[in-house]
Amino acid sequence: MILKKKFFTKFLPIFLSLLLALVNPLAVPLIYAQEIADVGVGETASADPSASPTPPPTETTETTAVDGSSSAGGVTGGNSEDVSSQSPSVTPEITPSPTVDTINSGGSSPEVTPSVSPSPLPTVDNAGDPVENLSLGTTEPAEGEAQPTIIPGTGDSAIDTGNADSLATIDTQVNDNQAVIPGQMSSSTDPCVPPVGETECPNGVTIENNNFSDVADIASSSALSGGNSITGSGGDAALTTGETVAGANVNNQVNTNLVAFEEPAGIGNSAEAATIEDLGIGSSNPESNEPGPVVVDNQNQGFLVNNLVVVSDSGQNQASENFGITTVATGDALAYANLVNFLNTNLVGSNFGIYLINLMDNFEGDINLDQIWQAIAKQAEKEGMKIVGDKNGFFLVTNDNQAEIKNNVNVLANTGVNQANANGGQTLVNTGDAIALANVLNFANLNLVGTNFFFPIVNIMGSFKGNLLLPRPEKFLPAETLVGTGNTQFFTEQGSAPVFENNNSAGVKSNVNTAATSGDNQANNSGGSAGITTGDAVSRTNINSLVNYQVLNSNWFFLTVNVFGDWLGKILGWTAPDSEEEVNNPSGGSFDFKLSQPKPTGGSLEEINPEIGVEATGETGSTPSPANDGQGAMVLNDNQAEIESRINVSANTGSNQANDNQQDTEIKTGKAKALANLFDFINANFWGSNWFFGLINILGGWQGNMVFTYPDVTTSLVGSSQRVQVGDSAQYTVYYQNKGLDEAQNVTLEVDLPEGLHYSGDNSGLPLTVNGQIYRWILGSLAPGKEGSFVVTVGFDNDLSPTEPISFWSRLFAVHAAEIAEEFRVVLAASIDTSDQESNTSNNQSFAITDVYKLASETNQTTVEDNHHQIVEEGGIDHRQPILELSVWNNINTFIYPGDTIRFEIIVKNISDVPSYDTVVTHALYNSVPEDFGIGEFYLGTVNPGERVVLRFGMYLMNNGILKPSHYRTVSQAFGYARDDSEVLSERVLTYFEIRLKELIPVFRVEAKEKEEDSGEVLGNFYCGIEEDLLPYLLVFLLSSLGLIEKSRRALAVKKKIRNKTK
Amino acid sequence: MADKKIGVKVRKVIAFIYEVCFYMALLIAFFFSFYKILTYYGIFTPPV
Repeated sequence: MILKKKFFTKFLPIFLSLLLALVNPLAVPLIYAQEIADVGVGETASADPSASPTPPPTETTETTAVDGSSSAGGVTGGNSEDVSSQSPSVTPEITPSPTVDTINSGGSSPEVTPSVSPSPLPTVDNAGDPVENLSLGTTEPAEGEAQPTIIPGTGDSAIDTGNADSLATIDTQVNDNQAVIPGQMSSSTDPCVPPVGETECPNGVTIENNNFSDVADIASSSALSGGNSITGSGGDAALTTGETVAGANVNNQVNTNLVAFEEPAGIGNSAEAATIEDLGIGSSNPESNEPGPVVVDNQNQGFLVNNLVVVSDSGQNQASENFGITTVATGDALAYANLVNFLNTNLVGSNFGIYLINLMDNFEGDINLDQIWQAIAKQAEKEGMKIVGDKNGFFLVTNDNQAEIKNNVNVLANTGVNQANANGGQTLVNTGDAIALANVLNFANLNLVGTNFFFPIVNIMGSFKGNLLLPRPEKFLPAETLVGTGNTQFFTEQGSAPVFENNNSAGVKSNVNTAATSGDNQANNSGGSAGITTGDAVSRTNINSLVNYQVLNSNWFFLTVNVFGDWLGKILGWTAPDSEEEVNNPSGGSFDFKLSQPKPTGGSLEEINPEIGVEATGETGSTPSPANDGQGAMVLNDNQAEIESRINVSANTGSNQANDNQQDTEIKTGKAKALANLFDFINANFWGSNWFFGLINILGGWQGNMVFTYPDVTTSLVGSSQRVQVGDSAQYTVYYQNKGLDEAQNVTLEVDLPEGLHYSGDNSGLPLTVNGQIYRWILGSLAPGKEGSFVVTVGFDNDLSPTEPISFWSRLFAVHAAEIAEEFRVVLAASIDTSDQESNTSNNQSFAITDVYKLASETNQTTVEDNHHQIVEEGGIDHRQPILELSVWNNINTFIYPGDTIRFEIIVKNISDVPSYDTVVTHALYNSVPEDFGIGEFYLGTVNPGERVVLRFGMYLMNNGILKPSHYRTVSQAFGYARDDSEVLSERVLTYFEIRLKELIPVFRVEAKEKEEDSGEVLGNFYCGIEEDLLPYLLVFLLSSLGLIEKSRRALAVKKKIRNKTK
Repeated sequence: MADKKIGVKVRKVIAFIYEVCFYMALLIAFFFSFYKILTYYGIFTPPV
């Protein structure tokens, strides 16, 4: 009894209120909801599963002597002398090869366009007249105004200089020879594999190049805003200098010989291929189908001297013997020099690219080096080389090189060396940051055959916000890993082993000094307090020397990152496709990314760091070469090189003096950073290799990640309808996308159909393969960001059997009808795959779940149908049409207020002698405009002959302002299908009412619950409206009232007790 | 002994909290249902 009481007074109200609170948010805001009473056989009433949504001998001899000098200066302050820029310029019209692209970014985006060398242009016969005085100079005038003044007197004195920028550029291209051989090429299947393409020369080709050159470059660049002086001022003295930036970019391409293979017009058809006669050069045995010999003979001799002086100075100021407060503040100073030398470069079927990117100011956006690398690799596919001809091909490359390079590079950035002595007031010396950078690359006697070489250099000197995208390491794994082949395979393909013989002799002297100073300051004999604060000073030297090097079918990835500034970012995808590493040593550190095959034969890779004054001398070496039978390929390199590099890089913010001041004295110095990178590739001989050498110098600030790019393919499968009846078909949309940053290759998409489902078609237009119930579409390559979709139509067999029944909860919230005999769930799976590694494989699959139902009436229908067939037409189709009669009634006399509920009764009667299938009643609300306020659909299923279906429901007019006071009408109509699938419809039946006043909101509510006498059973119900019935609230109200009364009564009783006790 | 006392106190506190929560639930149920009844009959129209 007590329990009962407790239950009614306590638990029930709580339970009910909680239930209501839960149901409310779950309610789906549909316009209609329904409850159907059926008359007759006990069929119908199920929510409508509405379908929603939806070569001849060529000889070139060149002798050239070039003197290049470039000077640029920007000066503010000091004596205000603008250091001259003298430069008449002569630019030789020679296609650059190898390419050196220099990009200087000053605020705007540097456009990194993948340009790849070599370009297969016709042979250029320069027959060289000597070219002299090749120089390019650029000067950017300084901003601001210099006021170098000495002001004796009583007033205050001030000097404020603007910024100073200076840039010197020299591009030298001398003796650049290109030869295009008609040949037939085919690319290797994997673009990452060395481009040992394929050539089949119809006749012999001989290319001879004899080059001699003597080049001397002088480049000087200076940006000065310092050297100012204020002495003897009677008042305060303020000396402020602007920022200075001085740079020099020098690119030398001397004695470059290029042999490219041009794909003839009719590939695969030798008759259409260009012949030697076509080119007007010689002839050998045109009647023979066997390819003739290809002979490339390069004789190079070159001398190259570079003198670079870069000075960026905002210091060396003086403010002494002033009476008042004295301040000296110097701006930041940046000095950089990029020197790239190519001397005696011989490329045969190879691609070489160097990218130099200087990010000076602010740059936002990604830098995609992977894209450039891909362009080089694709170029290799086109122009790569592979000798075909089995035993008859003869390919000979002879390179005889002599090179001598002398580099003298001096880079100085200074903000210090200021003096503020013997001042009467407070004295403050504050110096800016000083950054000095030198990148020197020497390529001397570089012989490439069938090789891709990419060398990007990124100097971040300003602010860079964005990601740096790099080719992923897998692209540089040993060839065996990628294609299951290696050197052996390569040799075998030639029929006979190639000869790769190198005789090298090199003398390399490198003397590199880097110095960063922020100290050596003096603040003595101060009358007040004296303080010296110095900034960080960091200097580093990187020397990488490849001397006398033979590389045969070897891939290498090497990247040096020098972090001298601030790097806020991560390294993604280096150790694994989905890896993410923090940068542990964000500033002042340097780290290398290396990935290589076992060390190639001969030579040595020396990385001596950060020692100063390195001297490396190479020795002659040669690869072991199999005996040549004169029928394969032969590469003979004879190299001699003498290289001498003297590099001085200095950054100074210190050496300031503030002595003998009468009051407080303070010296603060900025950061000093000095960095020198020297790469020597001397007598380097490559055959069939992919090499990536990168250099990233972070001297400014970088916010972004270093990303080694991977593809990431993803798919999703979406069904057009949630519920499907057996025997019907449904459409599924398959979406696919490459969300990664790299191209995905050999992409395939699979859809796995469960048993009982069958493929009916698709609109993809893609090749399809079938394996049992697995359907596979071949998408090929997917570029980054590319996406697409197609629709697959799937049929549901009549004998489909359940694999997964629907859960209790799914049933609770779904619409069901008693006529549904069986309902279950099928799961379709889609998966996408690529032959490349991916950064994320968890998104490669998608599933679509579809509820499938079988109607109990199907069995009955079959019987009925059978009867009909027997009675009406033997074996034919019954064309008799059902007739649907509709009557609609509402309970409104004339008008209704918003917020009220209109009750409707719709009676559907089948007055024919054949059933109406898939019968649906629509009920729409209109006012004076054509648009309706929503159409409700009631699915009745099969209405048998003579059957009458009654629908009773309420339409609640909510007061949300949509339904204005006006005259309204409802339009109802019934639709059904005959046995021959033709559609039948009833008359349209209208009812009218008027809405008056009251600003209430219309939302329909359904409350039909009637069940006619002998009309069968209530087949199901669901509530989708926002409003609910009143009854539960009434109950809750009553019970909670009771509970509260009981509670109060008890409390009063307790009080009484206490009172009695106290009495 | 001390443990027992603490136990009794804890029980009392729990009982008190239970009472308060229960009472609050009753009040909420009462007012909420009352509000719904009012809106149903249009006596009170919620602001839109």
